[in-house]
Amino acid sequence: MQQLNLFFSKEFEGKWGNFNSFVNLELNNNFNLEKNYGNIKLEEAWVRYSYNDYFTVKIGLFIPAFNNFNEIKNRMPIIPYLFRPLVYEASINEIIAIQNFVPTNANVQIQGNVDVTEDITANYAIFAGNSEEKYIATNPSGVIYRGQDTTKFKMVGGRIGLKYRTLKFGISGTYDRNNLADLFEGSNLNPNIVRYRFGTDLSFSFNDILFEAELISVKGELKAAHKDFIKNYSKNVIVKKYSDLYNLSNELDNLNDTYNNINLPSPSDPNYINLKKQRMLLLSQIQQKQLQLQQMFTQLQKVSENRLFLGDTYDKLFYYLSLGYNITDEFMPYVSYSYYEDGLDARFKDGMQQYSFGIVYRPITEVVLKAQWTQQNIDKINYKSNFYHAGISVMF
Amino acid sequence: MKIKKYLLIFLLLFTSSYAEVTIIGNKSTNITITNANSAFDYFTMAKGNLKVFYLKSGSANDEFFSFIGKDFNEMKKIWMRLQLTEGKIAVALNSEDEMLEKVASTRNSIGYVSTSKVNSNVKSIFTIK
Repeated sequence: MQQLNLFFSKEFEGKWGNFNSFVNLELNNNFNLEKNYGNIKLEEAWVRYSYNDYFTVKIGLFIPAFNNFNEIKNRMPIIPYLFRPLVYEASINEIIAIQNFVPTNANVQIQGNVDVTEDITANYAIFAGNSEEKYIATNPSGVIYRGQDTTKFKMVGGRIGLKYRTLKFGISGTYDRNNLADLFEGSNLNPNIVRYRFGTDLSFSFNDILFEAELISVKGELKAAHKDFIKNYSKNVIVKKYSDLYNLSNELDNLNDTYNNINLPSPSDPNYINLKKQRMLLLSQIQQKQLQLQQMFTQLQKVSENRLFLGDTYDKLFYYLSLGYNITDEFMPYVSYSYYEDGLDARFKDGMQQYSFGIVYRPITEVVLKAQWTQQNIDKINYKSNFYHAGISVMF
Repeated sequence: MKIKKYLLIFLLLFTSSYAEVTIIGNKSTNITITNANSAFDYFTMAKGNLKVFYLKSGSANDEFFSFIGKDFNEMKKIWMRLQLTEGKIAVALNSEDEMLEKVASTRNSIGYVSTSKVNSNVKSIFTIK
């Protein structure tokens, strides 16, 4: 089973207004603790207090209101896709990180609706939380435990929108930091790049037609020194790492030679103890250097990979459009197109396109059978791949 | 032939007649519905922080969903989205009697029943004509 979400929800009502609590536990990839398959994640856990239509506050861990698709990207029974528009697809998150484009979680959000006319409503949401997940500690160190964010960087953002029945339009934005420590490792540059995300969304269902579209643009405050470092990445990092590796390898050879040149006399010799101690000390140094060499080699592999995919600017762009038509209540074919561009990744610097055609069959509201064909293209490198997906989403 | 013609006219008249439906609320519910759009907003919980009840089937359903301009399945999809993202649950009920009972006993709630069923335990908010 690809994904199972367990939702728990409880509403409370009092003289001060309504409270609502919500927990979403997500289990992925045939989760099995005994066999060490898959993973389990606390995706959301929040409490919402609604004073009136104009003022609602949400506190806890939740997906913030940024554009339209962000909040529902994991709600498989209500979306038509099996393979989602490019930056939202979790299975390729290691290649295209979702959080580069949308905030994946926040901790406090104030939202509300205001009537513009009798039929049109304006809505707003302002949210705040930690900066991206890359700042969360993954190795315990001293008093810092795994999963703790020790940085001062915070993410703030919001969305304002207009709604007329199912027609929704909005503009969104965030301000936070992007952790580029991997890229700027070994330099004196600040790797915490100020990042701005801008988004706009439009969606509606009219008669039997469903339409949704989004655009996200991401800008980063890279200083001239950052750009220069990226431009000269080979010289600044790779050549230096190779040189360090070469020096370390020489040191190791010297230590090995010294070790081999110390011949132990017979145990009755008065120098025996001293020489034995020297050899043990050398052996320990050799082991340390070997470990360093191994680490350095891994680092070199990483920076070489960085170099291989390194672009020359920071800016990113994503948009998608989807159009579906309900032929009957149960049956809906749809087409979807998405485009992704990342100036910092040479693979996607000149754009990647994804075309999809899918069929959704919903025998009852809670059960959805889906089939989807997807083609991904990167014109510049003549990359073209076709994917076929079939699946079922059930809500019970 | 004539019998068939009269039968057809009778059937047309019969099928075009319908039971009037009224949107009802708990006595604590303080909202105004003036048209289909405002009804849609309240029943999709976009406004009013209300508890929404709906009927699983029945002729009142046909009139109600036709009035707000969405069919039953579309509304169920909208409610499913609300349940999965906001934890807001629209509750399905089996009969109009149960609807009257639930709306009467649940603060800030709305629902709908045939106008002939409306009683003094609930507030009549809007009559669909």
